[in-house]
Amino acid sequence: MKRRNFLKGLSAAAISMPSLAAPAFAQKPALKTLRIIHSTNLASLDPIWTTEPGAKDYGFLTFDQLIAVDEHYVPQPQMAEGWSVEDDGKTYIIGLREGLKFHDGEPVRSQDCIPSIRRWGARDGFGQMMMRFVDAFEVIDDRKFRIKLTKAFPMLPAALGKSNSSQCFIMPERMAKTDPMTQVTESIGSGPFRFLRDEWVPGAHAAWAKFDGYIPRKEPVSGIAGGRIAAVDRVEWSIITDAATAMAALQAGEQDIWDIPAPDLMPVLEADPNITLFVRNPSGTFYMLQLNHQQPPFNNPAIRQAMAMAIDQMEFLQAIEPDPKLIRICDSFYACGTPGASEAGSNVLKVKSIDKAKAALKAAGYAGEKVVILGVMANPVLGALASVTEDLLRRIGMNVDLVAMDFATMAQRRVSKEPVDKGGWSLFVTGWTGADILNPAVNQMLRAGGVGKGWFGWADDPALETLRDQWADAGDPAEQAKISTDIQVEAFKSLPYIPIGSTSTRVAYRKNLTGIFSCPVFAYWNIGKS
Amino acid sequence: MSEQVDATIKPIIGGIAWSTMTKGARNPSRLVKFFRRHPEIAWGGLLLMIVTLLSIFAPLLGTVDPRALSTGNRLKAPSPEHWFGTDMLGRDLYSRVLYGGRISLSIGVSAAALSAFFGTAFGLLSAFGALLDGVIMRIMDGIMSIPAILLAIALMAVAGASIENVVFAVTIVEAPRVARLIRGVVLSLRDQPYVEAAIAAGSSMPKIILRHLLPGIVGPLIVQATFVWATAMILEAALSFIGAGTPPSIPSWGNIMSDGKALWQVKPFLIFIPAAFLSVTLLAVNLLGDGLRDLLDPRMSKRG
Repeated sequence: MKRRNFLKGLSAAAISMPSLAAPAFAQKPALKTLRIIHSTNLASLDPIWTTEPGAKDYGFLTFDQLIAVDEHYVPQPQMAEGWSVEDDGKTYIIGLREGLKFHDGEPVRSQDCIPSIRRWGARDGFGQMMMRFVDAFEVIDDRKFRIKLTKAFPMLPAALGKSNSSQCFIMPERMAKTDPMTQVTESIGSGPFRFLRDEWVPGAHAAWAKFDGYIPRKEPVSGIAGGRIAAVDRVEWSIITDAATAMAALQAGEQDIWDIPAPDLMPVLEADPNITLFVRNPSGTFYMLQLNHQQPPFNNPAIRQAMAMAIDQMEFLQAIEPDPKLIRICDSFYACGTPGASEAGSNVLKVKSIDKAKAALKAAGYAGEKVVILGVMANPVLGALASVTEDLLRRIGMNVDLVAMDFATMAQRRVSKEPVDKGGWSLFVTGWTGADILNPAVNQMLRAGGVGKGWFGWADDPALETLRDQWADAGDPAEQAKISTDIQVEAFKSLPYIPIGSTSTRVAYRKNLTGIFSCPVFAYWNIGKS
Repeated sequence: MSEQVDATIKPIIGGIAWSTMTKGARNPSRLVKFFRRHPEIAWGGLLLMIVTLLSIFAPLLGTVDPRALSTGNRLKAPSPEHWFGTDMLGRDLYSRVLYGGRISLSIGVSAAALSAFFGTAFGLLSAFGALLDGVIMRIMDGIMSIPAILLAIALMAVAGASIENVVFAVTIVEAPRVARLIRGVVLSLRDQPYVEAAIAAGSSMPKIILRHLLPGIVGPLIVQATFVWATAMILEAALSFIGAGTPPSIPSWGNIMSDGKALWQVKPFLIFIPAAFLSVTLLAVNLLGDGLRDLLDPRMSKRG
């Protein structure tokens, strides 16, 4: 065969086989794929079992909620068609919208919703508060069920519609009946995007496809309420922890959104005409030092107080945010800038003295016990805060070991209740949005029920738990506000965690994206590309 | 160097070069001549001496606590106040680089010494033990078949981040290479007439090794150790750069570069300055190694 004839034949074969002739990118048109630089790994497929940011964002893409809060944190029907309240607030009847389906094509039924609520109520702080009032769940029919309460609990819709972790996502009955302490590994969702498990590479990549069976609400998007419209065919996450790589990918147009751009690179991004910076979550990000109350040395309240005396929030915040306008000192356990926040009881944070902290530490009987900091050094913000913490503890005379790890490793290790020499830990730095710490119900780090009830660190302060119950029982907003302040005063005594202030965070995205909206979470519905 | 050792080494490493070096040390003009004949040793030694002295005498050279944070002074450009600028936590980069040299150099030297020691021990055992030879060499082959950086990462993942563990990991990675070299040298020396004579005269095995073989392997061992030293520093920097090396709170050149990598586009000095120190030191160690190789093995000399 002559060479020319061979090439002719090869060309003809290629043309007759579209899969060979068409370039690969034609199968996934860039305009139909939303490419996201995700700063944290997706390590778990169970947003009820863990509060990891990756699992939370996965949850919002994959699952839907019965109720969802709008931009003013007012609960609105989501999967629910609506709800009615009877029996002086002691009975809620929730009806489901018609045509709702899970990603396996099965209809969403009351029998799915009830175990989903039960499982969430066993893990989440607000859910646990709500479940104290629940007497029974009753299936009325496939699209309607009743929640009977022992006492009126007006916050029930707010609990079911909360935006912060853990959210009450609706899963199929078989998944929802998984033990709350056991991780769900299946991924059959109820939301606008279907998780493509075959493409999932933990630590590197995750992808979703538009779920054609999803019926969005007709109302415009507001907060996490309103129509969750899948405006693209695919959503892809690239887990990129290196800031320079992430910025280069965004600038080159290889990615569309960077969820948490490094603050020090903002000037470069601002100067790029193809990139927009946007404060998506106006409530800001609040950082805290989460202490392990079950192990020395922070099982000693006096040592926790001594450490708090050394803290100057500005030292922490300057390390992560170069723009002073985006920094907010916040001597409160609630989100500063919201009605619940005050400085009541925060005297310990006003000390800001290394010398006084040293003296207090000595008086507290600190005997050189090792402090193991779980430092998420792969994340520029959490890594910097961990370094500042390490420096601070060293300066007040503590024996510190900063252990570098990524977020997923930290999320696994923080579960350990063992001593530090057996794989345990002493403290880690974490951040929550303002929406996550608005009040005692949603701020689950304020739980102080010890092992089994509290968040990681397992603070044990019965007085704080009693006040929290009183807050839930109080019907009057004024009374709730007073108890809320009392909770803060008590919290500054037992220090379930130490607040270290907040910053305004922005997302960076390519200018050809459409439909980006203010939202307390990283929600990717309604976002399209032009 | 005693005449006894001199006499033993002479036939093996080249009498002319050895006597030049030793006599040169006693006579400055001869030393100048020696350095002219071996500029790699001169330049390598000089650069290495400068970096080492800077690191050793860091506290006397206008440095501050390299771990002291000053978040209000973060990312300052080089200035008279901060000669190399400050990093993202406001730490003085000049102090961190000088103190970081202590960590990087000591890890390099320690790993080189330990690799030389264990490599020599295993090499000798292998060369003289008929049964052991196969076992030891297959283990060494197995270790060498794994890429060095991957093996080091795996070891660090198991052992945890600390300076000692970095030295341990680098030693495990590098010792097999030394062992293989030493085995080869000893096998060739074993057949030399003076060794056969010692065996025939009834010398004990330890005496043969100490008196007749060890001096013969000193030359290649020194040269190999310098290369291990350089490799150890690169491995430490690579491990620390990816967060698997020395703990983040301890300044090493790798750690400092790792801290600065996210901002290399906007603050290039954060990564350029420690990288320059590392590069110069590696150049120095490699020059020294090349020079020693030429000196100790005249057959390898470019000058013939």
